[in-house]
Amino acid sequence: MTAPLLDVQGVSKAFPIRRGGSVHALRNVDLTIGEGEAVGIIGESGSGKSTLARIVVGLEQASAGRVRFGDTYIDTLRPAARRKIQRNIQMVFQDSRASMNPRMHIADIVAEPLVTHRLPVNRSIIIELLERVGLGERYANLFPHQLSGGQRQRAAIARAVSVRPKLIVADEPVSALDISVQAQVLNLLKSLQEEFGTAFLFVSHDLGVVRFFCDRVSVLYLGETLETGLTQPLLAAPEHPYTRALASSVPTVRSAARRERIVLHGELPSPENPPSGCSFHPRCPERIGAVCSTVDPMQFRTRAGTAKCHLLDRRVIGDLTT
Amino acid sequence: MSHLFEAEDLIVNVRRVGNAVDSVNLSLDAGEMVGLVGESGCGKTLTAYSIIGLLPDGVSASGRVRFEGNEYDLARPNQLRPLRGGSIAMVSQDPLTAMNPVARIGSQLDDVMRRHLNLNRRQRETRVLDLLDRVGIPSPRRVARAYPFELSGGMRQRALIAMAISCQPRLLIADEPTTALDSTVQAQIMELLAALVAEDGLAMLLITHNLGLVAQYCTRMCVMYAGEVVEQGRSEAVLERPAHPYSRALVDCLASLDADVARLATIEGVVPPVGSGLPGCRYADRCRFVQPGCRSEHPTLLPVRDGRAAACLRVDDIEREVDMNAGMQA
Repeated sequence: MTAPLLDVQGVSKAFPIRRGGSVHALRNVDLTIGEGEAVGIIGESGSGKSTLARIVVGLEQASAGRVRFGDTYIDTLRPAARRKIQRNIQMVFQDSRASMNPRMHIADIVAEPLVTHRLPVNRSIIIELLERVGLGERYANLFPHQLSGGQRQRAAIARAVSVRPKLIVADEPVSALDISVQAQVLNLLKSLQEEFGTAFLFVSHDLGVVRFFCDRVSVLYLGETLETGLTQPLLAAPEHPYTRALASSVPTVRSAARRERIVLHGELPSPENPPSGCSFHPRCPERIGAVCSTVDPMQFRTRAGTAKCHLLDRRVIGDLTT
Repeated sequence: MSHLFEAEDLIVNVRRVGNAVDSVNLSLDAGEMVGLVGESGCGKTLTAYSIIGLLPDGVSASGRVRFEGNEYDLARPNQLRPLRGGSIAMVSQDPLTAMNPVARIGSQLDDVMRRHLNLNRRQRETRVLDLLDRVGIPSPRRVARAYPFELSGGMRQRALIAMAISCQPRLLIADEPTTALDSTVQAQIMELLAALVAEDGLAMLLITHNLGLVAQYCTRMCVMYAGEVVEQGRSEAVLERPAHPYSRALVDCLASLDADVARLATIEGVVPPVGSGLPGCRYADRCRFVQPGCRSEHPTLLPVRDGRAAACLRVDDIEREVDMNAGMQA
């Protein structure tokens, strides 16, 4: 097997807080992305999904663990060397407006990565990019505020693909958009992915969107990966109780597709002192006993990939039934 | 039969621009949750704010509202003041901006009750705790003393719902009440709202862009496009077999959890700007069933199959075409 494009190995991130102690945003997370592969990260707010995205693009430093891109460990690179790699890792943010300089023309915004990486820039290259994302020349001399949310997100995508990166990290790229615009932007991302063979780290809370876009998916909860695997089988028949609850909480339009609703009680516990044992046990509707609150579950193989839950441990289940 | 709430010929006019909401009729009964859906700018939020008389400067409303047997003129928002926060209450998307940041939750609840209810201080104090308990807040005493910023998004939304139901409203307008929340918390809040409707006989207007929520919680729904209602009826009927080309396209755009598709369906083009004064159907430029007549004749809401109404001249042709396609696939 060839080395993956991105290999996140046991990454943890702790943010120190003023009153002492720290918030554990990520705990020992593994993640790989192959060339041209789209991997989704799902989870509730506070699950650490954005922190993971920010560590991959270098906006945040991991407290522990390594991040390898191709054959280079990028987490310890000096800035100059990092910059060279950075051309291959671009980001699309949720709020396109906040990620653009309000006083720059769209053409200059799209050209920014090309300028940064000292690549040839001229008007026709920019126009071609704008046309590729469905905007065209007439948007070149507009300011970000003159564009609609969907148009701005297209410009942000043009900016990200301008340097032909190998990996695009997209943090909730369509969450702020209307349904019909969401569909347009997702189709655009998908056709760019097919055209350029770009890999994606796709952060989203929308399971339907992830189902459409991603080959594989990781489910994050309190900074931990609870379940990971191929998108289709994982979402069709989740094996971790948390994923099951998450999938059932998505309201669906067609009654035939409706699942039995599992309403979780309570909210995400504080990441400052995560629960003992399995981090999901205080809210888990399928908790089996003391083992859940005392022993950290191992990873078990599932049909789709792996999951961290005592329910999948034959020995634990065996003890209970005998 | 008369409804608990009826709005007739509701128009919201933006000064020097045009009508952002045009001739909308709405009705709600007790114990019923009705969904008002559409994309940004379709006028769904303005519709809601006109009903409670809270339009911003430069925006005015006209039309008639019948509520609990009385009639109100929307052009005179002052008439609506006694209803607001009392028998008509509202829950907004962002509780942080709907609340006073420097007042404790308990005192904000108390403010509303002092205005609308005839209770003494002790009674109100008890009621604050009862209300917080009713909306599923685990430690009402602690939360009553807390400031809004000290609560999580879900708890804040619960507190806002407590405030909304504090004066026993008959009609609750919820404007994207769960959009800012995670899907697991969204499910909790929707269950709470559904319980209020079922148990207390509240009528609720749910304004949302989330068709899934409408499918699961609303008995009836209205689809708005460019300031007009283009389709309405039982949610199940509208969502399973949309009659209007716009509702049809909207349902098709959704990325589903259960279907494998290479590309999502999209709607080409953009919504016409407010006040563009198109004589015909406002959806015509984006519609894949468009015919020349659509651009000159303005469609009105007319009854179609399954007790629905749709504003489309070609609704029968489209229905036939869809039936034929379905037959071919079968």
